[in-house]
Amino acid sequence: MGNVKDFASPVRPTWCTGCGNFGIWNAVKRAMAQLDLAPHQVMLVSGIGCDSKLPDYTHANGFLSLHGRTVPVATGIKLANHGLKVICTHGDGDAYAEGLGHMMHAARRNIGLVDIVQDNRIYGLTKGQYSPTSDQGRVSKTSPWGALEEPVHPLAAALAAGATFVARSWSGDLDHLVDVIARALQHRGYALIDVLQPCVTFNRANSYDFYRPRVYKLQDEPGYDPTDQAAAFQRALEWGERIPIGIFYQVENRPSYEERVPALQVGPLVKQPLGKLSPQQIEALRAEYV
Amino acid sequence: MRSSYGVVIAQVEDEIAAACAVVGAAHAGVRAMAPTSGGGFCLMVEALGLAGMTETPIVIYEAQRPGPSTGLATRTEQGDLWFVLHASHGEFPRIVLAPGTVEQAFETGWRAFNLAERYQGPVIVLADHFLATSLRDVPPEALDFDRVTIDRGALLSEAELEALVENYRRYALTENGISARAIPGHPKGVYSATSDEHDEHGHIEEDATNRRLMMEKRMRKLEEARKAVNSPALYGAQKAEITFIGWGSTYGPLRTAVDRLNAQGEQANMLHFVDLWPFPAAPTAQILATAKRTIAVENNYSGQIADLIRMATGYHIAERILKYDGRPLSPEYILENVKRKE
Repeated sequence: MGNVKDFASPVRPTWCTGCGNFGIWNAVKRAMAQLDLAPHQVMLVSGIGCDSKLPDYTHANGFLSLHGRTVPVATGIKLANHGLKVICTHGDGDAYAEGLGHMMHAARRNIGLVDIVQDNRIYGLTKGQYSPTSDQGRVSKTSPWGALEEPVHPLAAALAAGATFVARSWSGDLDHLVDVIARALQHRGYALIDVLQPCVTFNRANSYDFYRPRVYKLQDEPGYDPTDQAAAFQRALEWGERIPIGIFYQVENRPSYEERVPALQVGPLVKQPLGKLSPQQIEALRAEYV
Repeated sequence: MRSSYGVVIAQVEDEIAAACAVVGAAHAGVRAMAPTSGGGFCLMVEALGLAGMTETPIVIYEAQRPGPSTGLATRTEQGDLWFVLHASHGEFPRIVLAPGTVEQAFETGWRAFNLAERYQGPVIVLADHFLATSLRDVPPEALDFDRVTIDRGALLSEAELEALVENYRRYALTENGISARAIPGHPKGVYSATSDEHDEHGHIEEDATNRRLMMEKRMRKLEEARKAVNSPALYGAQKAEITFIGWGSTYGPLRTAVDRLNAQGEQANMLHFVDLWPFPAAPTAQILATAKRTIAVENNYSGQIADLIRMATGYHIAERILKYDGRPLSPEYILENVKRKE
């Protein structure tokens, strides 16, 4: 068991008091410590948004990238060094608006990323516009008459794309969240964790008081089988009076993308020697052109 | 792709993902490149700025085709020079190289990676459809493997990281703007990079003085890179009545045109550019100062290198032989237009 304090950064968060991001931040650090990971063995990758500042507040390798491009940047990092545990920490705007396509492709690729989406169902950093997961009818600064679109159903989308680990947790139950992140970190391939995260300033609808009586744990449901994709689909679309959390779906029978890349069979690319070609290699290369 | 060369090739969902993945891979410590054409490069522009801000060494290969938009998608043009010089918002150093022959393309390939790592930012190799799809016989030794060098720039070794006594400063303010890079994975080399303005450690920082110092640090790398930029090559007689100016794939047609003119008893030469940015202004100005009749020859509508030379040196090239019908230049086309203008 590592020490959570190893991940302490001198930078103080700018998040509002009571923000759900504090819980997620603590859970990420606790899960890493629980698995004995040190700051140099992980890479936290984010995009832009309140949530995406998490790596700046954490002592660990990090890359705060572009809005919506968290997953492609993380994909490049993983392909260059699959020895690192690569963890994406970004918001619902980043992951499901600009980044939705990337998520679908990461899922079908089954690349070894833990994709933590801090889903507060609002654009918080830009002060309160409706997001891709806002409910239809949600009144916000950019939807004064209510949002017109059906929200994205991220877990169903990930399942449809062939994801091998699909989970939801919430920032009001730290032990549950730590457990789900720790399981995702041990998963072979892409793992999506949608985290219900109250935004105490700009989304009064999806508050702690909204979620607390509604969330229930799938693991407590008699007969729920997390390898049953059809059952997972059904639960992924459940929203309202009852909101399921836990691991909706997990299978380990598909190898990860990095396991299947021929050049990575001998180890992480960054550890492979970068040198001039031998005379034999040069001859072989030239022979391909004559 | 055979795996014996230690190369990973990934076909990702779009050019945005490709450029971002290349930034991620380079950040993690490997050499990384994304090949594309003009339309694809449009999508890569935001990631280009990301590489500039995070000082990540990436190579983008852009084969120009006639635009705008889909244009003539299977034909050729040199219309993107000004685009690649300015692509992405904000100011940051970049290097642009435009090979014109098989041999130059080979050399540009390894030089691009060396320059990217030495100056820690994006390098664009600007080719075009004509060069990319032309076949030419060359003797095996034309691809000169002996000259290939691998220069990873200021990259901290394990021992150097081990010896660090204070917290690692990825963006340390230095005289030449280049800060030593650590490959993530070492306990003493832990840092986070960010697309936001940042302090020496990589943390987000909006302080005005810090912003000024970081802008100046990054831009100092452009001046440093200027020392590594090759001068344009003069082909033909030192003194000539006509000096053609070209870049990239116009090399072949121009050289043949020069040879034919000289065979006819005229005095012609050509000034050909591979390295375009940072622009080799001093040597260019020096050569043009003694030139008599100068003609820019380009596969575009406006004469982009002629305008670039004007901007960088003040020298105005009034005569321009241009072609923007999607077809490559030919010696005949050049000679015909030289005559017409006489």
